[in-house]
Amino acid sequence: MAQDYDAIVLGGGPGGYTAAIRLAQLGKRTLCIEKERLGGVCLNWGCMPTKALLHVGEVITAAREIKELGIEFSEPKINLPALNKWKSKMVDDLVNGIGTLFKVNKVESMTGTAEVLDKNSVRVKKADGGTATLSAGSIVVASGSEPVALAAFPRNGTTILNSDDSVSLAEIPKSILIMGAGVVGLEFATIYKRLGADVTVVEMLDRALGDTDLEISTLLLRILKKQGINVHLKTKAASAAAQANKVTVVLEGAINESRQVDKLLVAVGRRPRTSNLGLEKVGVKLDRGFIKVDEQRRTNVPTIFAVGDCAGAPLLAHKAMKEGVVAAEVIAGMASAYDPMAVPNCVYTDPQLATAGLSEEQAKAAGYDVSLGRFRLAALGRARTVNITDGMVKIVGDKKTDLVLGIHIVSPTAESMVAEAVLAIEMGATVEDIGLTIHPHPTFSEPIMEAAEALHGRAIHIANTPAPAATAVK
Amino acid sequence: MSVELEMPELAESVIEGEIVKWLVKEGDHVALDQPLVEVMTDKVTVEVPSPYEGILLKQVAPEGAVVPIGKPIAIFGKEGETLDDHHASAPAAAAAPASSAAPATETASSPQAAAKVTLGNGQPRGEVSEGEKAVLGQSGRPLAAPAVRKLARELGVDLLRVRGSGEGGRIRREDIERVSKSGQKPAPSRSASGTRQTGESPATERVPLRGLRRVIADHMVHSKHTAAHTLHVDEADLTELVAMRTRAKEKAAARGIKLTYLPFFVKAVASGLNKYPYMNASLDDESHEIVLKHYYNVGIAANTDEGLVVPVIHEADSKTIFELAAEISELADKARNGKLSHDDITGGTFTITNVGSVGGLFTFPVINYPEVGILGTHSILERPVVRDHQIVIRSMMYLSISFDHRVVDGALAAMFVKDVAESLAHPDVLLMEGG
Repeated sequence: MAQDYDAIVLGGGPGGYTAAIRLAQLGKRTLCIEKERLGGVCLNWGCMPTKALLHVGEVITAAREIKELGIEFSEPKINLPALNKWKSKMVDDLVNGIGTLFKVNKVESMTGTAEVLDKNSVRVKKADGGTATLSAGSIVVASGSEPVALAAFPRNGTTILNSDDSVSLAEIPKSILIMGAGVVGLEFATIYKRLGADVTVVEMLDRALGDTDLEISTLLLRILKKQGINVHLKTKAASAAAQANKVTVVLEGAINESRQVDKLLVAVGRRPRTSNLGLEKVGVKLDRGFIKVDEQRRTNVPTIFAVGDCAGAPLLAHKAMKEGVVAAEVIAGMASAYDPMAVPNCVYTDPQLATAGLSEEQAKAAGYDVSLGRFRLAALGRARTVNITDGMVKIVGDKKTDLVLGIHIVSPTAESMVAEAVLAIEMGATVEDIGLTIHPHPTFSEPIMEAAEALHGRAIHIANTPAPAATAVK
Repeated sequence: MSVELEMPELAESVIEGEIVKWLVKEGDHVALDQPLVEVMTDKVTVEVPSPYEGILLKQVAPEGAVVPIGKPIAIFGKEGETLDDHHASAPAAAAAPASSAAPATETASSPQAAAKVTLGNGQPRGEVSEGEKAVLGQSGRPLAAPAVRKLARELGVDLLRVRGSGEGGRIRREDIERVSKSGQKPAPSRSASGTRQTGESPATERVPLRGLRRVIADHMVHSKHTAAHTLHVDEADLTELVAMRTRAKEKAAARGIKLTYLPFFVKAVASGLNKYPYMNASLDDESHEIVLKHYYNVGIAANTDEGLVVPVIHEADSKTIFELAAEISELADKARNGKLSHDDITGGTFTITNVGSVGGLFTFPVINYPEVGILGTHSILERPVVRDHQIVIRSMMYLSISFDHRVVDGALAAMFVKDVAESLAHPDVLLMEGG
């Protein structure tokens, strides 16, 4: 019997919609089932709305800080309903854009909750009522992830929040305490700080941003602290008691006190959404909640694929999109594989942090004799023109082969600069290749070239010293 | 200083082992005597404990590779140590599980292997070829740009086995095209489950031939290609045996013994072998001699989740029914739990395959080479038969024998089966022959 579809994609986030569009491009009859809104976390609750809020905050901050440069504005006023309206429309436009892409590519979409019945069929509980059982040659699971909830800090959406609540921004709190100095924690710290809140971040570990190059994450923390964001490492929130409009949080560790704040944001990580999808029933293997996939993003059940957050770390939209393309192409019989040499990671703080490849610690642990090149923004003309002195590019190279192992950036536009780093690693570039490549002047891209040259002791705009043994900047 | 671990001598007369499963990941710390890797020989899987304490730097032999005794399977180092000089050579070895496992004829058909032969480097078969190898970049992967990697996948070229002609060993499109034209065997990617992905319909699943399945496959083909398989079928009247077993079952149970028909079959076979020595023999192909064995080790084909294994009851002729029953239970347990030792599955002189529990009429079994015969025993069913001009109901069972017609002729095999049938029809007499 013919299948209803060549492929059914479960989830309309970046991994799912990318897979669906590519499948359709390759001539596959494709259905994408999304339980809420197309675009997933990225468009609706993650990347996009947070970046919009960051932009707003950036302008406010710039308006304040430009006083130093001789320009004075009156204190900016925030019209919150208008801001939220603009943000919602921006998100709606993007979501509708996915819908349009589905239409032009002839991807069918359906709103509802789906469950895998067997290796070739799916049952959908439609949002508009009714159920349907649909069959397909292949199934792509792109069910995403959700914020980890902690029982001791029950989310109420008003005083105890998770990241989904935080983007809706019903009000701007006077004070907020953020649990977790990961990407989400530090980005919201930046958003709220720019919007005028008193921000404290507590992190249980002795470093921020997980295994990000320690020198780089430490530099970022120093800059954030200078901006008035309080960050306490080796500190945990032991308990929280919510009052009407406040929440009292007991902190333990490097500081021991109880604090009353307007909001508590729990940002301690995300977990895959892989339960209630029927995966266990069809025997799809999981590893700590993530769906196990091979290089082609195929699960142990050959007709079922998984892409994006549900298929493992790193939980990043661009990784999901790449996987979506790979899974679609494999379903269409192409020899595709998910085989990146480096997955870039961007943190939208002020300045931004972006990394690609191995950190200094990871490179050493992998057995490389590491060479390091650093270039600080204080020596960059372009940075001076916008009154910035904090920031750095650090290159980790292999002393033996001069191959670029990792590039780590704290700088304005780090989000865009890091693409050069990824390409360098993918192409197997040497540090010298980067140093010999003309970078435009004056731009924020120069520090990558300068750091490369510094690694070989020949940067132009700094006094070259032999690269010191790697010690973290405290 | 890193050290190599060689494939250990796993048992006497074993020349190679297949890496079934690595129990320690590369880069992980290994304690002394910690189980390191599962290796299969013949049909036994052995857990090899680590002789070193340190870091497992490299699994030189990947899962599925068949490695001769004494050849390296892993590289160990101290904490923080790297592969350094091993770095370049190890991946080439790791990249060639397919060719290392292939029989000699197949290896020789690949152009690379042929070149190896003309170079006359005298490597024994099964060894990883010197071949080409890639310069490794970040994360230990070959230095190749994304588009080059894509081309390699499309052409089925294993990047680890390509020598890059670009600067610093970078692999270029031209290198992939050159290797592809020269006919490097495709190195298919494998999924988490070990199934291989191809451009085939998703309704097709490819499961690698590994471990016990491969041993069985090799063994069966070898037997079928070598022995002159011939089938003969007879039947036995087990009415008396059924009654005897029913009587003895509870007494056996009181001794903790589960009494099935199998010990009686073993006993009858041992008795028959004693009378027909050519059934208890093997043919030495090289010396052109028939080897007659004056010991009676009866193998029993046992089905397990992993596949067929044949534990052997040694000196079956000298054991009582109860002893045989106890030993069969023990071996069956071991087989199910994968605990059979090398001794448990070697030394057989004849095999019984009991398909009675499944049903069917009778089977044409494949001889457990180099033995000469294998006896199929089947369902015991009450059937109408003619005795003294009367149709009566008797408990009947078919007996089928596959025998190697090079060693024995049909008449002898038929007489042997007739003897087994007679013994089973008159179990009292069988038992009088002594244990």
